[in-house]
Amino acid sequence: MNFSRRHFVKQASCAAAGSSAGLVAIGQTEREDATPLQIGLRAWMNTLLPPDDFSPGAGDLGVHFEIEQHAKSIHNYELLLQRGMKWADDQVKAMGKADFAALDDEDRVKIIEVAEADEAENSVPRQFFFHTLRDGVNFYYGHSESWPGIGFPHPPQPIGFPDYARAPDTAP
Amino acid sequence: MKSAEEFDAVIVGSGAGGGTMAFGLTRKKMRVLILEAGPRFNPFEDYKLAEETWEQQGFPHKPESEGRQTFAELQEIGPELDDLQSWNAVAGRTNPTKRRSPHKYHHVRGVGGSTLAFTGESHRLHPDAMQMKTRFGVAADWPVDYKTLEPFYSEAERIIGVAGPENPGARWRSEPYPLPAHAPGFPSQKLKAGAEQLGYQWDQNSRAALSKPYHGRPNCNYCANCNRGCPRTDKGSVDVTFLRKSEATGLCTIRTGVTVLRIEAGEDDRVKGVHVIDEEGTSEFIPTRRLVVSCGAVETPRLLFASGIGNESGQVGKNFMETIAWTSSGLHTENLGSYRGLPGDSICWDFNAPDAIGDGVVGGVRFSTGVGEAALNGPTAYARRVVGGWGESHKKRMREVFGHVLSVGSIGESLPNPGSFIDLDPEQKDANGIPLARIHSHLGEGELKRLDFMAKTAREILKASGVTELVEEYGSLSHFSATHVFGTCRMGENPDDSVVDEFGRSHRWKNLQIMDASVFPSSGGGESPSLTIEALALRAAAGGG
Repeated sequence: MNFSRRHFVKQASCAAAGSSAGLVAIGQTEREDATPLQIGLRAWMNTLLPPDDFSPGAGDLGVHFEIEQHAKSIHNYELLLQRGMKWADDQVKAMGKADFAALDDEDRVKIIEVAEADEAENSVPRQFFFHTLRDGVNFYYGHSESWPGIGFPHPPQPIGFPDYARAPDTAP
Repeated sequence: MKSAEEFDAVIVGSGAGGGTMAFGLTRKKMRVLILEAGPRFNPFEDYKLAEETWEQQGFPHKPESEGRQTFAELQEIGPELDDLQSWNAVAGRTNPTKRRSPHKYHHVRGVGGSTLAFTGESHRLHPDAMQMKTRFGVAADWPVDYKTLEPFYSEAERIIGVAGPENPGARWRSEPYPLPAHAPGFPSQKLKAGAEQLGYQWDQNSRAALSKPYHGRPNCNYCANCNRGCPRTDKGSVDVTFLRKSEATGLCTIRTGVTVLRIEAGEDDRVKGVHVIDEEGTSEFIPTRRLVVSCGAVETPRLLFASGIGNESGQVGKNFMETIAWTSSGLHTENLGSYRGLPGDSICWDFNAPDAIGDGVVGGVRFSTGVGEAALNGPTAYARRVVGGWGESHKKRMREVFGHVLSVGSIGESLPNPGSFIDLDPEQKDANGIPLARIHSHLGEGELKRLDFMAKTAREILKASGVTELVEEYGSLSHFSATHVFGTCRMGENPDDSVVDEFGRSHRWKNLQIMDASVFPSSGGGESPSLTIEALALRAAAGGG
C-alpha cells in the first residue's frame, strides 16, 4: 500500500483544481447518520484547527466532509483516512477510553502530537496527520467564517480594496 | 463562417502578438481568421474572485488552456549556491534535490493568451538593452531601435489605457501616459521609504490597469489578484483591448479549440496554409495568403520544427531566454494590509540598464513590489507558507502576522547560451501525434551573478523598509518557473543568424510572419515584454508587408 508523501502530493495536485470548488458547498456539519469515521474526523479537524473566540473550528465548518469527499478522487486516500482514524482510536483505547472523539481537547492534542512526531515518514499516523492538516488548512481558509480573527474582510471582489493606500487600521 | 479563402490573413494564436496583429490588420480593412487552440474566457463568469474559495481556485484554467511541454535534465546546484535556494518558513527548501527542478512554463492558451493571467506591467524596453551585441558583445542587436518603436509603444499604451508616472526615466516619451499612475499602495510606501534610505529611486510602475474608466471599461478597485484573471476588465489583457476592437470591426473571426498541426509549404518560397484539427477531431486544411504565427517562444519553434519550415538559419529554437526571477518576502513590523492593492504598483529601475550592476556583470535587473505576484495575499497562503503549525498556536500566529508580509520581486536579463534551447521531445507526443516541445535551460555564470545581486538587494531593501524576519524566498536557481520567454526565432538583418526580419517576416518564406517574444534578440533587463510585443506587432501590421 502506497502511503508515501510523494504519492499523495502528486495525486492531490492533480485533483485539487477540480475538487475544491465543488466541495465547499457542503455546509452541513452535523448529520444524524454520520459514520464513525466522520465523527472521528470532525473531532480530529476541530483539534488541528480549533474553534476560538473569533472563528469556528474546521470540524464545525464541515471540513471533515470536504476531506472525505476529496479523498474519493485520490487513490488510497480514503483508506488512509480509515486507517489513520483507527490508529487514533486505538491509541485512545489503550488509554482505556472509547475513541478519539470522546476525548477532551487536551488529550486529543496529545494524540495528534504523537502522530506528528512519528519518525517513519511513510507511516500511517504521520501521513494521516500530514495530509489531513494540509488539506484541512486548504479547505478551512476557503470558508469566510475562518477569516474574522485574522482581519481578512471579504473576498477580493466585487468591491476590491479601495482603501489600499492607507494603513488597514486607519481605514474607515 | 466565412470560407478560408475569404480571409486575407490567418493568425495562429491570440495573445499579445496575434491579438495585436489582428487589430493592426483589421484596421487596414483586412479580413483576419485567428486560430486559437484554447478556449474563450468570460471575465464576468470565469474569474471567481467574489467567491470565498477564490484563493483555492487560482487562475481558472479550462481543458486545453495549458499546453504540455517536457524538460531536459536541468543543471546541478552546488553547495556554493545555497544562498540562492528557494525556501519558505513552513516547508524549508522547496527543492531538496541537488539539481534545478522544472516547475512550470506558465502560459495560457485562450483568447487573449497569457495576458489573461499576467500582472499587467506595461513596460517599454530600455533603449540600451536593444544593442547588446554592439555594446557588450552578448546576445544580438535588435534590428529596430527605440526611436523607431516609440510611436508604436505610445499607440499600444493608448489602446490599452496604460497608467504611468510623469517621469519616464531612460525611456523617453513623445506623449504622456494615457492615464495617471496609480497611487502607491501602503506596502509600496514602506518600500519606497526603505529604498530611498539606501539611495535607490522607487517609482510608480506603469500598469495595464485602469486608474480611471477608459474606453467603456471601469477603473481598477485594487483587489490584488490580477494573476487570477480580472473580472472587471480593467486589466488591459488582449481580449478586452486589441481583440475587442478587432472583433468590433466585423473583419476578425476567432475560432477556438482549433490546433494547428503543421504549416504546409508551397511554391515560390510561400506557405500554402495550415493543417488543423478542431475539438471534435475534425481535420481540415486552411489555405492562406498570409500566415502569422504567434504561439510564444516555446510553441512557435515547435510548430516550425513540426512543419520543417523556417529554420534555414539553424537558429529556430536556439537563443532561448527565460524569466530570471527572485522574490524575497518577510514580515513587516506593522500590519500593512498587504493583501490589498495593485500588484507591482511600484518599481526600481536603478539597475535596469545593461551595465548598471557593475563588477563586470552584463545585463540589467529591476525590483518591484511582489506580494501579489508571490500570491501571499490570502489566508491559505499564509497558513501554508508563512505560519504553518496547527492548533491554537497556529490560529494565534495567523492573527498576529496576517497582512504583514512585504515582498520585493526582481526580474533580470536572461542572455542566450548554448545550453538553453527548445527542441522536439524525441519520445513524448500530444494527442495529435505531434512531438512536444522540450525545454533545455541552463543558467550561465552571468545569470547566477545577477541572481545573487537580485537576492542581496531584495533582502537589503526589505530590511531597510522595516522587515524583521524573512519568511519565503523563491528564485530561478531552484526551479525553472518562467512566464516571460524569448529568443527562439530571433529577428535580425542577416538571414544567416536570424529567423525573421524587423517586421517578423521570415527571411525565406515570403508570406510567413512570426510575431511574439520568440523574435526578441535579447530579453531586456527585467521589463515585462507584452507592451514590446504589441508595439512590434502594430509596426509589423502597419508596414510589414
